Amino acid sequence: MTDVQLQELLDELKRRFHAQVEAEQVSPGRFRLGVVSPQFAGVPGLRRQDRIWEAIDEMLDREQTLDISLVLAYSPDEIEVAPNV
Amino acid sequence: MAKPPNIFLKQRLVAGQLRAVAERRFDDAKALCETQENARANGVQYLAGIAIEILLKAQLVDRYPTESKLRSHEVTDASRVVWSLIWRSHDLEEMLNHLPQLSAGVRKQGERAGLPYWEWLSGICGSWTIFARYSTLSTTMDTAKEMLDRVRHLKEVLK
Repeated sequence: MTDVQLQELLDELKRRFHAQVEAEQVSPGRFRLGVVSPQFAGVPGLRRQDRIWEAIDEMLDREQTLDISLVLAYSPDEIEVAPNV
Repeated sequence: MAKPPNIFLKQRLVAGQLRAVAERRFDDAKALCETQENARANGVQYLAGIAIEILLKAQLVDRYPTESKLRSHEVTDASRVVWSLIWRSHDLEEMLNHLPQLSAGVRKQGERAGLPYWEWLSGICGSWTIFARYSTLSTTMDTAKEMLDRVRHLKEVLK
């Protein structure tokens, strides 16, 4: 995945989920995404994952999706209460 | 009357044993799910995630046989991360990161089955944590059933 494609993906996730989105490189060419959106409040974890992966699958081709190692999805209030342990 | 074995002893398992244990934890989760009691839903999700964790550890044992056989006093700086992932850690993300070939294989099997196995696996690894065992919050049995159903598919893929 090129830097441009990664940025386009992050922009689309921001737009679609009104989210704060960050990408962290976990190994060469592989990224972990963090998505914080008010739309995830009260939504079970797997449903959040499904929504985000649906967007990823739309934006990237099959090989490129393997460059996303993992997605962390939180609502803003969860970020506030989570202790940094 | 026969004395029950001490299940709290730390054991060094081979990949096949880990897979058998994962199946047992899955069965434990299934039994809780079959109660249909919402109060058991956290337990279902916790145990279903443990089953995935153990299956990822089995994959790590297969991929890193030398590191997996080391005794704790034999672990070197170079082997410590992998050894810890196998015998100490509950970090599913880091396990996935040390199994780079797994994602492509899971994806391919998902395409054959017409199911999003890779997305399911990544989704579970991104949302499940060991901290479920300390949570004072309660999930619902519908949510737990959904996870258990995904794990039912994934455990066959990860064997």
